[in-house]
Amino acid sequence: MKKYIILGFDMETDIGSYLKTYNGVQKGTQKILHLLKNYGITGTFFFTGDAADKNEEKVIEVMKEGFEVACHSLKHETVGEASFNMPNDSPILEEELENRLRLNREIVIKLTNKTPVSFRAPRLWQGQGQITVLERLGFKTDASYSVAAHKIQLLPYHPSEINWLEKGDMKLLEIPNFAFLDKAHDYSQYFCKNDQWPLLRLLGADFVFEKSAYVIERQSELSDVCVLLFYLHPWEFEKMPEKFQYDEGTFYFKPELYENCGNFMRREFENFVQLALNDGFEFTTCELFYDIWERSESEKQYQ
Amino acid sequence: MIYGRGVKVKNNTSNKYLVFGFDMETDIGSTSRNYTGVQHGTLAILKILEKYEVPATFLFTGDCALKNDNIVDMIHKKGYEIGCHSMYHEDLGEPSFHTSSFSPILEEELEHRLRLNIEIMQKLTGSDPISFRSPRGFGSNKLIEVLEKLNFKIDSSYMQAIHLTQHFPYFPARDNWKTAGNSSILELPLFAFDLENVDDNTYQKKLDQWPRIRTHGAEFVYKHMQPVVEEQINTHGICALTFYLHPWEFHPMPEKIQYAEGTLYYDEFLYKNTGDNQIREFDIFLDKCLSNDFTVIDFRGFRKVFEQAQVS
Repeated sequence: MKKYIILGFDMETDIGSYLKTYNGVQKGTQKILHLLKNYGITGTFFFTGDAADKNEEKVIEVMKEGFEVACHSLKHETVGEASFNMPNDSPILEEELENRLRLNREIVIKLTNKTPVSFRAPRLWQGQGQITVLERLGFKTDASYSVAAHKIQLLPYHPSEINWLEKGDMKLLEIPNFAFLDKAHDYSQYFCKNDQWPLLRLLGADFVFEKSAYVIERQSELSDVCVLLFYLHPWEFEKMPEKFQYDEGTFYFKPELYENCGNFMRREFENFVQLALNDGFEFTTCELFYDIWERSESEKQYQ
Repeated sequence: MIYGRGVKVKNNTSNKYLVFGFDMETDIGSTSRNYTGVQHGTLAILKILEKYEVPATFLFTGDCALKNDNIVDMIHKKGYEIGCHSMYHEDLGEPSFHTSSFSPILEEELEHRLRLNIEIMQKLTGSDPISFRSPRGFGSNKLIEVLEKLNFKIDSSYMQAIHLTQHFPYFPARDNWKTAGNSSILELPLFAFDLENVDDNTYQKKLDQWPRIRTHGAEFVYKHMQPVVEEQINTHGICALTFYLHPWEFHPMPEKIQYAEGTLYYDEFLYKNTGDNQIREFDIFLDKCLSNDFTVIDFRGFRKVFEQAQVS
């Protein structure tokens, strides 16, 4: 059995579209890159078109360090089925998706001279339309599936053209974001019930590492290749505000969104990397993992 | 004169016009997913309009119309004008103040979204809407271009309190919608006060008419609109003051709203005096205006008046 970790960073405005600022992208990215280089590991950076456009030098830096630059929608819009409400978030129509993802991709290509092959949906909100457009645009991997939300798939799979939640014949490889599905513990006090996020930041490296052993155990019953796909954000590596004001009111975030952003998150992230390396995990990117997975699947068929 | 089906335009010889447009949308703009204002507030509005037998224009978002087709039907059957207000109360043009909106619409998406809005209204009313208002009054040249293409005749998105220059209805220029020009859309500016010495500075758009009927009362608005009326009559021979109101103002609104990721505490001007206070003040305001020779008219009615006045 071989076990992998994919660190996926969603490069977006602070606290995922609430704020218009990019403090996380501008300052947090540096710290993430530094850590990854220090430990000789890699990761995937999903840029919204807007984040890439307004932080060109960050895209170029990520690319030059040899990490994967991927897509995260144009403006962090809802590209699938929303699972909760936000103020003033009007959904994107399905027929508008392709144009927006094309624009996202074009902005990245302009900066990197390379066609991005991986995608992650904002808030992991997927839909059949989103999967269909990714396939049509030739994306290879989608790092959007939320195990916490959908529960069915625990391992990477090729979605069905009719029902993306089920296995099928698409070329696109769906890589699930793992969740702690064990019933022995109740995480319901946190806002994403059973989800991995934001527990690394709230509860620390030891907790997440210990719990992820159970996730790997479940996966290894089904596959020789196991993978922990993380979703993290550069804004978690910088201090974030508790509220924000605009011309119609003041929005007070739930503490889960800003608590321990900055120093604590940086330390726990580093601790987790150390624990994982010592335990024999290999770090990879979505793009590289695609080949690893396909190779292992074809070997399985050969045997 | 009988206007629409059974709605009379009173005092038709007057040269003082008030144009009322109600934005039919979710509660408190687009922060909520609820339509309690549309469901309950609309009834209060209709009751007052019927009491004074005056017309008004109701501008529906496509989403609002779909989810409240009983209200669309009721308004339509009573003969009031029905117009469009975007699909989902999205930001259609250039933002003129800071909202919590996440994803502004791309220019190339505008036409399709407004077509959807039109189609919904056609399906529910059997007729083509010709009046429009952009959510929060965010306009653009592109918006005027699309409105023309889709056969709209009247737009009421221009906020005098923000853009300052236009005081009186005008046909926007295609290359700069904030100036007068040759487009076929009649723009009805949302009038602002001249409150230099009166204003308390607590409102985002400090010269704006809105939401002062609700927050300051009918007397205040009536008194402070007089200089605007006089100025327009002196300059143009007639005056036209266009108002924007919302059904949710006629139903009690909460001070805050809870989401999965936090709580939004509204600024006071958004919920203050919503419900009975607004109903009473709007009633008083109409009474006061009608007994002082004002004519209340809807968008389409005003366009006719404006064209006739220009011809003569």
